[in-house]
Amino acid sequence: MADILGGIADALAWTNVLFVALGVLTGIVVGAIPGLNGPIAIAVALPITFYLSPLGGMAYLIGIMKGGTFGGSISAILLNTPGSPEAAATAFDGYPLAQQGKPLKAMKMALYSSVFGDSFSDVVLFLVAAPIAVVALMMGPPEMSAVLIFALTIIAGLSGKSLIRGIIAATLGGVVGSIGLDVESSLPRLTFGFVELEDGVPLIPLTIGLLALSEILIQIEAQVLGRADVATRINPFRKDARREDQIVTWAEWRESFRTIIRSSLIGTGIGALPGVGAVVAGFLGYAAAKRASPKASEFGTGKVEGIAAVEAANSAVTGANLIPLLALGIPGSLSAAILIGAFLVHGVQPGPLIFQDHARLVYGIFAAMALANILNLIIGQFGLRFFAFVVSFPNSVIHPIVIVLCIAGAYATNNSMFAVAIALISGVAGYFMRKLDFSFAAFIIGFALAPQTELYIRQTVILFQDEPSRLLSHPIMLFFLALTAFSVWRIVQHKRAGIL
Amino acid sequence: MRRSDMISGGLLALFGLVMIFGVVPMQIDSGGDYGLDPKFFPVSLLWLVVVMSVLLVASRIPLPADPADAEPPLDRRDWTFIAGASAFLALGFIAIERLGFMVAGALMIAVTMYVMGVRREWVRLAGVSIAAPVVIYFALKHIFSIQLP
Repeated sequence: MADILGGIADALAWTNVLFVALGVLTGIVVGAIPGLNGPIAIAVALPITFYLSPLGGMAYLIGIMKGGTFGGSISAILLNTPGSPEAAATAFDGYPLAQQGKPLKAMKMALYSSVFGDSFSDVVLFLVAAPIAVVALMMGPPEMSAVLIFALTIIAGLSGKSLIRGIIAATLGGVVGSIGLDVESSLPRLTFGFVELEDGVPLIPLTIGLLALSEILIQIEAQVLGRADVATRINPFRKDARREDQIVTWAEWRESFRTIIRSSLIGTGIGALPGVGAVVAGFLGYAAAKRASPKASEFGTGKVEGIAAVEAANSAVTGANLIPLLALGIPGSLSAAILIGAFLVHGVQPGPLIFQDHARLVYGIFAAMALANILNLIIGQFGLRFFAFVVSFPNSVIHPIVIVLCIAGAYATNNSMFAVAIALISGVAGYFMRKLDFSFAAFIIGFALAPQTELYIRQTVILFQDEPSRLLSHPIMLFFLALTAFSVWRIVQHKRAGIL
Repeated sequence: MRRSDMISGGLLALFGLVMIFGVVPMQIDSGGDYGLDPKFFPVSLLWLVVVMSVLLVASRIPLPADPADAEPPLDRRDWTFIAGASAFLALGFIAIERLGFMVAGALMIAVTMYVMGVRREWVRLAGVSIAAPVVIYFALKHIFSIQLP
């Protein structure tokens, strides 16, 4: 109880409140710019958090994560160009509603449903993470090896269009993750004589390159080669707009409330699964709302309920994504994989022991998440005019600045140009991965999980090498291995049927 | 994606084999008899890459020709762009080492803006390319105590 109260008090310190607010603001602004999104902002901002307290740094990144989800909807509504991939379905009804002269109504519904979905999933996180961690603490190396293999398989299978390409990407991430000193013998592996690689390839510059720099290269290429769509921006602050077109009425709230609850449940369920992500949640939430509605034909024509369905679902993924991260140490998404870097920098290993060793920090993070939801609502509500202005910034100004920010962020990781080189090389590699449709999310998660998986497998071998048959007396391990085999079979079936 | 899958699958299988038989033996020494050899995990993963790459090629061979293959995922203009971008980033890296972040950053921003079409708006081009690296440099220095080169 003392840890819970202490954590809440820490989160409410004015500096941490400020970091949450700054994070939310950064997230919304970056999310609103087409081509940039929350995970990119987290990757670039991550090195800065080294210089903050553990809670301050995490509060800032969590603020970005939450703000980024809503931010993506702004350009989807005003430009018909989603700021982030998870807001793609928001444009289905958001843009038509904006064309009807109701862009403020659309943005406000996106904000309210996003904050509701996010808060809903946070409550689930607060309630289930600790009990799952207690169960996880009872698991030994064989069980954890099986859980990690299961998680990697699901991530590889569901994070792209092809199971095989996903597995290749995750495995290549694992190969890169194995670079550095061997955990048992301390012999260098694949370091090519670089002393800097003995600690392994640093996660943060790698992520900055693969995630942010490669996306910027793709965006610049699209503009330079004339492939970028020229979107017509809708002005949300026309003076002749009627008041009822600028707000969400009670009737619209009542009509959408059931949909928001349904989408929040869908998003939370999807978020708790490793690798599926907010994009899928958004589309599933929309499809479920349309199927359940008696006015299904109105979806896609500017229906407020359609916006609510997508935004509640994709935002509900955010909190639930942290369930596998905090309870098992398994990142459920790209953002969660990047957050591992932030935890490790402050000497905190995500996983079941976090509730024992850093309970006050965990409850501080929970309190910061709740605070971020409130601030997201306030900043979103009062900053709409500013965010609409940001959407109109030309890419020719934003993208060059982001390149230089990426370089500065990579350098700040450990004050070395070697980290910058890693980021630049990863940026070019990420360009090819995007072009050839190899999931960079699977690569990064494979990279982040490889050292942990190897450690557990090595411990299992040492423990059981004299009598491997004793492994058969570990039912949880057998269950997860069977589940892995079943999941692969199901994924292959779905891919063949063209469902996933 | 059929053709690109076959090409990338072939190249990745080749990469995996070169790593297993060429690079790993040179780069990783064998450990003692205790536990697993240091090579075990990277080599196992590389074999998985090889097997999956072969599977990628094998699974695409029976598929009918994809109309999307008429346009390769990377055409000549893409290759030219990424070659130019790689050279630009390499030069930027060298410039940061030689000239420092502020000067090199300003040059990188100016070149990128120019390439992206900011040609005649000289005030905007000069203003953004000078102001952005200066703001980033001093913000990191004074707020976070990060000394950029």
